[in-house]
Amino acid sequence: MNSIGDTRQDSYGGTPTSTQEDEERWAPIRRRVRLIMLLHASESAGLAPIGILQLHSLAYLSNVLAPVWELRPLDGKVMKRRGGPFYPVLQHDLDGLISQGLVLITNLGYKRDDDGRWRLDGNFYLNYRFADPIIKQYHEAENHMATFIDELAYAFSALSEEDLQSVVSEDATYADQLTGFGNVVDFGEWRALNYSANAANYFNRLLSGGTLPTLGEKLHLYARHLHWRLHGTKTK
Amino acid sequence: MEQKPSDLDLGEWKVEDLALTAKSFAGIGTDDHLPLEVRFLSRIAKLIQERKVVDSKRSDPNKPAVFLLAPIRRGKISKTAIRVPMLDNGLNTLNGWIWLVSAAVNSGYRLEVDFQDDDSLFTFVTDSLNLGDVPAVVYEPRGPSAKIRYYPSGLREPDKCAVYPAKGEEVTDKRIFSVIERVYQQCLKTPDAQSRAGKLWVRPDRCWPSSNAEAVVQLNLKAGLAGQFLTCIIREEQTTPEGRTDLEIEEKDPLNRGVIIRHAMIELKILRSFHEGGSEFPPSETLDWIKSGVLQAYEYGTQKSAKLATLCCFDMRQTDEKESCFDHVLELARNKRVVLKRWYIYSSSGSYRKAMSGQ
Repeated sequence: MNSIGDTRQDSYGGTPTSTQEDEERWAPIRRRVRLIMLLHASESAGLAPIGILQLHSLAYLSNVLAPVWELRPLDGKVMKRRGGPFYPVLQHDLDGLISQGLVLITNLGYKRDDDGRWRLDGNFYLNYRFADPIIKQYHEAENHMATFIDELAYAFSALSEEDLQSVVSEDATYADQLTGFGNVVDFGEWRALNYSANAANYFNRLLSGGTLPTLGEKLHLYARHLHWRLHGTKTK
Repeated sequence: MEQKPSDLDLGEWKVEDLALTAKSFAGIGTDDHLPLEVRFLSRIAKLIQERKVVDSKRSDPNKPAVFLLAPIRRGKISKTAIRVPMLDNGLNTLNGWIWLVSAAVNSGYRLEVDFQDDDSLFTFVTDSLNLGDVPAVVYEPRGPSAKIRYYPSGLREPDKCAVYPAKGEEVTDKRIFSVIERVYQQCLKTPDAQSRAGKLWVRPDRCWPSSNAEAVVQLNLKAGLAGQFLTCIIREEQTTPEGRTDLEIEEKDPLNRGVIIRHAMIELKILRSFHEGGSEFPPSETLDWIKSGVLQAYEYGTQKSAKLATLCCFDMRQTDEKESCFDHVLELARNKRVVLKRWYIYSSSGSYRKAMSGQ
């Protein structure tokens, strides 16, 4: 399997070595591996068991901020909802992992979302008895991606659970007023413009003494900036 | 990656707002890629330093604080643990609590513990929480000077402990070199000491160094320095008008958090007899290489207003000519106030033993 979306090896336009057929064949596995990465990272960062909306927020951030780590988004678009990003395919994959015993659920219940629809609610965490071999494997095969997802979770673990659920409403791309609710937020599918990654990379120009931030530092600064925007006041 | 004009398009966001965030939070996340235990330890030290700045009236109780590298909240812990986001802002009382944190220490779960003495505190962690095997830091504010005690194997092994001053170590050339010496002894000196991912030789039998030897040395030193100078930030590959620096040791001024103190600029050079493919690296070029290192250390140090500039050479040449490689730059280094130091990398454990036995 090719490295998942590593732009150091290919370009946004498509991989020179893989065909459309290959992409489609591997896509479900890539999605599920990414989901396990997100759940494992949330565990390492102290976010597990992670709420369903927090998980979808983290998934969105892993897509929109992927270019900061020279990675392609796994999914370059998402429907703009009042309640924040929600990926039906991710939810379907999560259900599959639960039925396989790879993911465990706690605080199971139902909730009405902002669109008035009822949905399953709960908090999710990995069953390491089954997940450990997968984690070991992807840390070898997809180390760059895994490091990015880990650092992303560390960065956003600074937020409260409530803030993590709503923080995307302030994201530079998601919050763009030119995209209305019910429309598609596109930052990597047909449109390459990604305000969020641009903002994170803009920190290259803003540190004192011309200091260049590390890739990790850019994620942490972006998370802190979203928090600042969410609350309107500086945290200290 | 080179930035295109569209890469600077921030949509509805303003640069001034981002600049405020950069000013307030620069330094967070610079420890990505470091070992988790090093991140954990140094982030705790920075948190304690931040707390001291914020809590200027010293209102925290005179009790230890325990930090466990175990960001979990399941089982019986979930009922009593309280999640504290933005823990690193220094606004929360730390002492007298047990904290379950991740390596990034951006947030934590706070647990109340009622302990009579240190033994009951340790027993609570090992027996009640069953977390005696995870890396732990105990902040000890009692006594004439506050200390940070690090237990890499957990509180179940209380004798395995490293103690650091909570206010941070003074950064001097001697201390920097002692850290480098330790890293050299443990990770660099011979091929056997080097990790599988951090090999310095491509053909040790022929003394052919790897082309990325300097990057391997840099990564090892960064982790070593971060694990010693806990309140400092170690940055690598910073751009200056004169070129790219190898390692910098900087710290937020404890008295004025908006000011960065640049303690040291460390220029690294690999000395070699051969290139990776086996072609010869002439001795005259090595001398020029060292001289350019002295000038770079000086220029970068001056440009960044660093208190100390040093050239550290890792000598991978066929024969160990000791410090004579510096003879031609001694005066220059003295004039430019660049401190010189060299470590010899052996191509085999056998050659190291031979050198030690004086053969």
